[in-house]
Amino acid sequence: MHGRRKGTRPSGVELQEELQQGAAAAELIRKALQLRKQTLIYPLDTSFREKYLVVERALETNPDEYTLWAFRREVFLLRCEHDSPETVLSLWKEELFLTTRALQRHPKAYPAWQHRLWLLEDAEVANHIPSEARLEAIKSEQKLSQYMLFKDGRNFHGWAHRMRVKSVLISVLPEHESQLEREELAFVEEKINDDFSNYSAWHHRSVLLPKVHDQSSEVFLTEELDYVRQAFYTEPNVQSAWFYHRWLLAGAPARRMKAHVQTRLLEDELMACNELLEIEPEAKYALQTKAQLLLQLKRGMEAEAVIDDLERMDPMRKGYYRYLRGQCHISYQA
Amino acid sequence: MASSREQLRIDKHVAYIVGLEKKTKTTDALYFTDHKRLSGVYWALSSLALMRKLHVLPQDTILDYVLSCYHSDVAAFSGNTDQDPHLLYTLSGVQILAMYDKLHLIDADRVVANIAALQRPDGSFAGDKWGEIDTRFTYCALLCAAILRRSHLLDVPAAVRYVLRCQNFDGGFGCIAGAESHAGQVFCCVGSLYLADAMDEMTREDRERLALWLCERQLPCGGLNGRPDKLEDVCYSWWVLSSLKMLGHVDWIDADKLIAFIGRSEDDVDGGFADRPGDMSDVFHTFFALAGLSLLGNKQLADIHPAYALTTDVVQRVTEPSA
Repeated sequence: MHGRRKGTRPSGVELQEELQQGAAAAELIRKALQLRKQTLIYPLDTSFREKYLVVERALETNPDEYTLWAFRREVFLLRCEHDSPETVLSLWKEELFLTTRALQRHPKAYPAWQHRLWLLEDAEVANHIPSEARLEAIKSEQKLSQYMLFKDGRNFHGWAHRMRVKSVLISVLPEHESQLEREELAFVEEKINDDFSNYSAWHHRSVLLPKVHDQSSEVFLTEELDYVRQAFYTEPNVQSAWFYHRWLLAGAPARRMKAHVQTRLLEDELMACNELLEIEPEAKYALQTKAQLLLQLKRGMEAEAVIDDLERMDPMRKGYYRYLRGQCHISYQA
Repeated sequence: MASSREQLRIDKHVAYIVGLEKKTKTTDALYFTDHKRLSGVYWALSSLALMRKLHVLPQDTILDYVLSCYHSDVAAFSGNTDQDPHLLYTLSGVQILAMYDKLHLIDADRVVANIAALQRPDGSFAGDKWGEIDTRFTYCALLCAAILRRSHLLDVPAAVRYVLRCQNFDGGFGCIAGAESHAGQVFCCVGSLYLADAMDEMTREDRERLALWLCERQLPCGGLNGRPDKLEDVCYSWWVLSSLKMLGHVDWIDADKLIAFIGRSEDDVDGGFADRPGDMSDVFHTFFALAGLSLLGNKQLADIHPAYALTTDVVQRVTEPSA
């Protein structure tokens, strides 16, 4: 199983404890699923309400039990129809709090994230929650994902949740769309500045930037290239900045440039790579980028020499380098 | 290629898979995977099929169990008998029935019609009636429909458009448009494009960038990770390799080093494969290890199809023109 070392299988008292815990968890889940088979009739009687606590405990134990989350949604919707608005509001907050507890212990549980988003996003739910309370909750929602990303800056569930919540917020406040995108870009930039190797943050920069900036300007591209250069000068061996760099040079703004401007730009980037390679001759991604730039500049022969170095340095990917060499020949002919 | 390498301990792995059935019945400690047991059955049976030993488990007992997860009211499968129907498990159910050539046991028209009802106007798919959107579900939908020969009931062009919207700056794909690339999602998206016969909808440059991102998943230990700066894991032998296979660039990684890594994750005493060397085996990683080795041409194993995740004889059966 994921991450469990061989030979660490517990024995003796420890094994007994683990088996007991497993049995208790399995029993909780069995009871909760059993309760689900009951037809829901309003008002929910006291005996149901008492037994219903088991669902919460089962989900805290294993938030991957997707059917139990669905069960909670059914119960919640039923009570929305009948209970007072105050009760519904407090139930709604309790549901959100349950997902917080589940996610703190199991940050990668898909169904817990889904349940949380449903509470914030679903149109039927929104009909039963006062709009100010809902808006306030959605606005403060990014704090949860900020906390999750503080604990693990690469949790893609947390990142995806931020995007989804932002869409909900934009649907409520369409006039604030550009401001929301700018705020998100500022958050992402903070994450990158904390850690240049945070690949997730670079990815989100690539998504947000075109929404916030006028990409057609050359100034934009130059500034962005300066920014990414700082990153790979600091940490030449992390992939994020290099992938980002390649994307910038292949993107629409670079393609729209006049030929001589584009050539000058590529030559500038080539110079930056060479400067870095003088200090760090083994920086593989700098060499890969250099080969790519030489190919774009139609300097196939020089590219081939770089590819020779790469193949020697990085033999695992020699299939890729052979392919690149094929491109050099195309480049000669061109 | 395979001759120079150590032989797989097929007997041990078969015994390990067969032993799992008893274990799931007696061990409460497996509670955390109980909700997706039907997928566990698919991984177990596929492992056996790859080793050409599907017959060692009793087909009737298994089919009884599989059908106990089928909800005829909505024509969909759930992850276990007491669970709710969900597209993830409808795919597992359909794949198992395809392996046994028993697709007639379900109402294919209704299964696919209900999947079609999960498709959104933007082309994406929800996993069930609660509306979670994820490109994993696009793959499940397209594959179920392909196996059941009813792709025409889905809006395939819209599904393709949505998948293409999920392609990122690095060429990879994420769970929704704008989400970070992840090798598992890459497999789902490339698989979807493959099943939709739409691989050419990616530009040559995008395909090249994606294949480069995929081959950069190989780490010095030989194993593959699922995202940059993450640990290696045997399951990516499948997600990454099958994607490279569909892109025509399996040779961009070092097969020998990957085979050696998978070999070090093999439990040659009790059978099965773990996520990485030194860890305990499980059925999920056992399937992905064998599937990866099959893609790399291991002669002890049957061939697996990179998009259908079924042995090629089954794929041939479900895709051949009907009489």
